Amino acid sequence: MNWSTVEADRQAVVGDLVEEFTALDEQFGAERARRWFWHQAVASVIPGLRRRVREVSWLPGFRASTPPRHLASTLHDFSKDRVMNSVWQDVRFSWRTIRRRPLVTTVAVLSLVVGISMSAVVFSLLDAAVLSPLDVKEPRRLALVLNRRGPDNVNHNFSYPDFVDYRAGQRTFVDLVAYSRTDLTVRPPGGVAEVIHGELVSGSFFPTIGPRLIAGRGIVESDDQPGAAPVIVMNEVLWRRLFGDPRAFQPKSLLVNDREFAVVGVVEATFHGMTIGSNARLWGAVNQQQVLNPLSGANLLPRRGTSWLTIMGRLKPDATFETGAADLNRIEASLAPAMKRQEKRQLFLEPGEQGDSSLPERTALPLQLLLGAALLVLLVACANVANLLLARATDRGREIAVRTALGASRARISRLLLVETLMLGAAGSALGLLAAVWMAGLAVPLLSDYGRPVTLDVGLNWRVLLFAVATGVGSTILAGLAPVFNVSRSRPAGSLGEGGRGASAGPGGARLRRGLVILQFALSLALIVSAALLVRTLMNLRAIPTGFDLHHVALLSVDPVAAQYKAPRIRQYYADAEARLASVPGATAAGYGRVIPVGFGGSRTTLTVPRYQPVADEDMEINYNTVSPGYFAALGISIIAGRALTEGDIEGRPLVAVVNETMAKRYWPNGPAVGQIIHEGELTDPAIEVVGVARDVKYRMLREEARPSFYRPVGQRRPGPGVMHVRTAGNPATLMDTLRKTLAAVDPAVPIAEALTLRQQTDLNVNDERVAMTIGLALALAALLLAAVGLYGSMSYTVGQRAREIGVRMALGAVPGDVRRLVLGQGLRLAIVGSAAGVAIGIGLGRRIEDRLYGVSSVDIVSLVVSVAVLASVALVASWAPARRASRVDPVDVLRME
Amino acid sequence: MSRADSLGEFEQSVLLAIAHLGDDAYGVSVRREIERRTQRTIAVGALYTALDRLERKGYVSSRMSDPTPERGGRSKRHFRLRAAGASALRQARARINRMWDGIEESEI
Repeated sequence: MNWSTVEADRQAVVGDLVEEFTALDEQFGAERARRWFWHQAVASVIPGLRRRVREVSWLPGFRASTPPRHLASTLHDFSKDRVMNSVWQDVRFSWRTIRRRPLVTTVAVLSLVVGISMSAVVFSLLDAAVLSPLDVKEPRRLALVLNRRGPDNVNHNFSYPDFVDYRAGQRTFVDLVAYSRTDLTVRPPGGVAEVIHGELVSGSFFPTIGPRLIAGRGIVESDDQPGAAPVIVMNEVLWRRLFGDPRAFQPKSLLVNDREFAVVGVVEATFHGMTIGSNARLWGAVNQQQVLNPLSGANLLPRRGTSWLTIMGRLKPDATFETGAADLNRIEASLAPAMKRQEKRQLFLEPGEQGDSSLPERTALPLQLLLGAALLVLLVACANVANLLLARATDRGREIAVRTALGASRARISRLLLVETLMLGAAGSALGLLAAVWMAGLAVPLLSDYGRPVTLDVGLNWRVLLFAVATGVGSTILAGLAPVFNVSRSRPAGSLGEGGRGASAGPGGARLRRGLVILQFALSLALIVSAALLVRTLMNLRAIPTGFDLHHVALLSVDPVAAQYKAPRIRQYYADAEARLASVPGATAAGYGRVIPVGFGGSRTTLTVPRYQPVADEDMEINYNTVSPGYFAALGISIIAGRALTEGDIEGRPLVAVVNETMAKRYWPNGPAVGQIIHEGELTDPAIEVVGVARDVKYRMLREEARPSFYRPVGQRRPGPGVMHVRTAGNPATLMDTLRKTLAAVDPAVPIAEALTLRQQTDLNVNDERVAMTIGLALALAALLLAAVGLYGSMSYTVGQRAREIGVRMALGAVPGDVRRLVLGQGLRLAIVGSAAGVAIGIGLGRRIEDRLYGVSSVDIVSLVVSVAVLASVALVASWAPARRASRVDPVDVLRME
Repeated sequence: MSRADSLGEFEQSVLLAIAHLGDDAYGVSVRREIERRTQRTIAVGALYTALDRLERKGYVSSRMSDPTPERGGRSKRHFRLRAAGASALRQARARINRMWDGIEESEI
């Protein structure tokens, strides 16, 4: 009878039955009344069911009629209008509930904001550095041309004649383009010279690659001819800085490498050149190479043997990477006889949507690992929200029990709870996304590509948006599941029966809450352990001895070659610069060196040592540096035998060199190195006398074994661009401005490319580790904070629930200290169980990052102990306030509430 | 004439019972009234089905009264004939009267 009757009518119908039953009972006795009742019951089931079916159906005919008012308020109805209507009711109701508990709401939303923004930041870095194609027309049809001379000998560059021949003979590409990165010295009208990254591009580049022009025109074929008028195209960012609004564009003239160029067009700010992470701001024609890429000073265009250009092509619609490669190899084969090439090379194509970039490949794995860590943080955040929702659902046990008793189904109540969670989730996602966009902008300067700063357009795009929405929805569902799960298991009768005592979720809910806190601590510990390993790695790397006086040297890179000076004038410039810099108050020495210390690259030459027999496969190509006499003093490199280089070591005098310790031991193990002879190249090349031995220093990077290297005096070699090294008495950073101004005053036409301290320069070596550590540490701290909030919330809630029990204990003689210990102990127990699980996860995570560690094992006792200690203290702090509150429970108050 | 406007025999009985009872029309009284006059047994469920239908058509209105002790503390649902219901009754009677016009009961 009950279930066949529409809820709203149940009262009226059952009331009727009871009334009649009673009347019949009085008049004719119980027997007759019962018989009547059963007759009624059976006869009413069918029409009752029919009514009920009609209530739940959404036949159009039914919907058209106006429902009786008392039915409209029914909790149980499923017609579409009504679902929407009642969802709206849920939203309004949830809004009121949320507003009633501002603290809980704030904590829940902030947890989500932290979790979502952290993962969105890492994702947007991953997106910008690894996933995004170049901002050009149809990047997927671009192919990068590479050549292979042997299994491990892949080359990315080609000569200009190669390019011209490929382009003339190819049939599978819309067109081929060639480009090369270069650093340009720009002197704006009335401004100071500065170094700006640019690209030399073929006349086919702009029409084929298709960067978006916002004003003027690109480089065209007629610009890329011998003797063509010098023109240049500029990125919007640089144009705005130099000339203002690009909408008021008109061709301007600009001094580039001391030649006058006409700026004929402006490309959109989002095009930074053909390398992901680069920040090319200027584009000139390949045919301007002698002016725009003068490092060698020579005209590279006619040289078949000098490979300096990257070649890319846009495939025709019917062409594939295979047919394109076959096409180019056909041309290569036809050229080969004419070229006297020792080895045949095989051309092949790779996807060119990211140009020729190392950043995506290099950062993909670290960023993916960090993204994994960030998602763990999100999981910790979800546990927080779940815990808060669970506690609130328990508080609302009575309300929910009443709803259930009134006929609300579990699905209906679950929906109410889900709507609430979704509202929290939506708020958290939206704010998290905003925070992520802001934080990602801060994170980009952390990245660098082999010491070069990285330019990335991080921010909102559809991928980042999709990721944020997905994580938002995912975490909301995850967080919302716990309370819903709990509701579907709760028994309304129990909750109602408990009356004024305030329902408890029963053992299931409490266990779930404790489990969530344990999970939070486990994940936090694992993240802290990993971060600790990264911190130790960075510390170890920074402590590697370099051989330099790391803390008292300033480095200023200059390029007098760009000012079109010849060798004598360049030597004079370096001599003047050295003298002026050394006389700056606070500076103690200055010296020139061609190669910047630990700057990833350097100069190499094949070496021949008389009477030294190299073993098979011994690498006789070794590093050297061209330096001024002041170099050793400026860097604090001590000479351990013979003499340093002097002012007298110039052209026309005997050729000399200073070798490092490793070189001395390698080639002359039995006698003194000083006085020995070496040849750069063959035995027939000029003899160079070793006049001194210097202590070993790191040459290319921190993580290198000691290798032979030697120094040649700048007076006896063709001078190039280079670095002024200045030794300072105090912190070089404080002197940097003065040094820069002093150097600029030596010759305003010579640009200062970079100015940084030696410590900063060596730190560029550990930049990848530093980025990983910074982000990893931030993630670990975020997780720890979230876990602490989770524990605090959980303990506070438990104390509130157990107030009566605590009151009784105190009434029975427990002192506040006992109570405090009780609560602290409980909090600590959760943290310890979590830590135990976390150690296992942490060791697993450590294994994942083993390759990235230096001087520390993936199972590092120090890191583990420190992490557990940190975690335990955080757990104590988080439980302290609830414990104190518990110890102040007044038994009289609590017991009176009964 | 649309089908929605025509009243079935049972519906007419229910409406007429409510008209007879006035302020005292609720489940029990309506059912008793019909049973008393027609000598037929009526299931409560069927009665409420009809009442719901009539209410949806706008022929009757209902309200819940205060709970009474003889009903175990449950409320009564009181019904009242609305103007549309009265007019539908009159039309139904007029329709059937027109069919009877010209026929003596003895002729059948």
